Amino acid sequence: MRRLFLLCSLLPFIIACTTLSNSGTLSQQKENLYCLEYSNGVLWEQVQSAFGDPAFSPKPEPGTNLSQNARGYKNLRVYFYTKSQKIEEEGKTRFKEVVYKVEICREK
Amino acid sequence: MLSLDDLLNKAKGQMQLFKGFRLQAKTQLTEALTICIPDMHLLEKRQTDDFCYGHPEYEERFLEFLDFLMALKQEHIDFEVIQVGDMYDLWQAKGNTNLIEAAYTNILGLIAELKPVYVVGNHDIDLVKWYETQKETFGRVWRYYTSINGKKTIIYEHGFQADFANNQSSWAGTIGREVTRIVGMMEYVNPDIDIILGSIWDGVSAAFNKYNVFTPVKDPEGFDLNEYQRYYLDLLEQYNEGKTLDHVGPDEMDLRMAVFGHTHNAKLVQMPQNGRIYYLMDCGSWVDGGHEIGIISGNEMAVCQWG
Repeated sequence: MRRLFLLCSLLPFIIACTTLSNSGTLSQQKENLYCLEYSNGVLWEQVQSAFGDPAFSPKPEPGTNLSQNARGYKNLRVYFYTKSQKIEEEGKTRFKEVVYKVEICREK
Repeated sequence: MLSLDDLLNKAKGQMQLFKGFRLQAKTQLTEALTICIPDMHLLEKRQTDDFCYGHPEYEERFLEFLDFLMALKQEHIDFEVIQVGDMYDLWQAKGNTNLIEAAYTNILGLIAELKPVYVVGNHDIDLVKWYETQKETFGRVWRYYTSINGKKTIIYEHGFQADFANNQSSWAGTIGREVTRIVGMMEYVNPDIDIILGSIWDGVSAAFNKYNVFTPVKDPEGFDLNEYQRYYLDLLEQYNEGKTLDHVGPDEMDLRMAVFGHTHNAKLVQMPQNGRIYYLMDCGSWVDGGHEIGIISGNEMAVCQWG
């Protein structure tokens, strides 16, 4: 009976604990997003076409090349794709997560 | 096959018998050295992380144990690793394995190298529930058997099946089952009840269907460990009589041992019943300061502690 009583009294807390939201799978999250995969050499035109004019266009740092610039956007979502990669560390097998793909997304 | 003593010698003092829990059966139980890793409860690294307690040396201790197993593998010693459930703690990690993988890349990578059998526990049961209809279980199994000459000798389960609210052979389990049925029937009466009630409904369903309402870990005084032993003793007898839904007949069953975790209380007992001697091994836990492991080699068995 003690357990039954505990069961009834704890039920609201249990339910509260079990209703933690689940964030869904990647494909579910991306349903309403337009994403551009980053790779070295992607054309700036493609970026601008995907995300519009940048919100931040900082001046070049002194001593830098005027043709190398940084541009920033607000309200974009970035996905880093990771996988576990085996490495050797002091003669032992160890693993590190590495990023093998990056996607930048905006809401459709 | 590497004997228990050989294994302890190879560990060079890092592995000891726990509380003298060591037994020898009259006949072989396994054809290979079998190493059972109990509850790990991996979750995000933060203050509530009860795997690390914020101490990297605790993680290092587990890595040393895995390094030892990797060294055995490199020596071509034949052994099988069985993780007996609750490897991930999805209750505390916001229901997602993603960040656990980021926090414990070394541990998870090394375990995967050992190609273990993953038995599902109540804290990582979501892995078999998320895509139940697609039969995606991420390599998790409800239970696992060791066989010799085509006969199953050992059953491995996490142990939550014996819990108060899940044990179908007790009055409490019967009530639990009926409540579960009523919860299920509500969806039959109104299929949209889950949509109408949203996350509250998910919580009700989960409380009765997935999660143990109580666990002996959280409420040790409310639990009688003998209940677990009695449950598994009865289960072994029933399965040997062919009373199982696992599509195996009595001809394939010669079960003499049950291995489980879940309670975080290591124990090893032998129980004679109806002309047989049954062995029940509760591997304890790796977390909560346990760092215990179950070892079975041929007819020998022990609960050991690492470090």
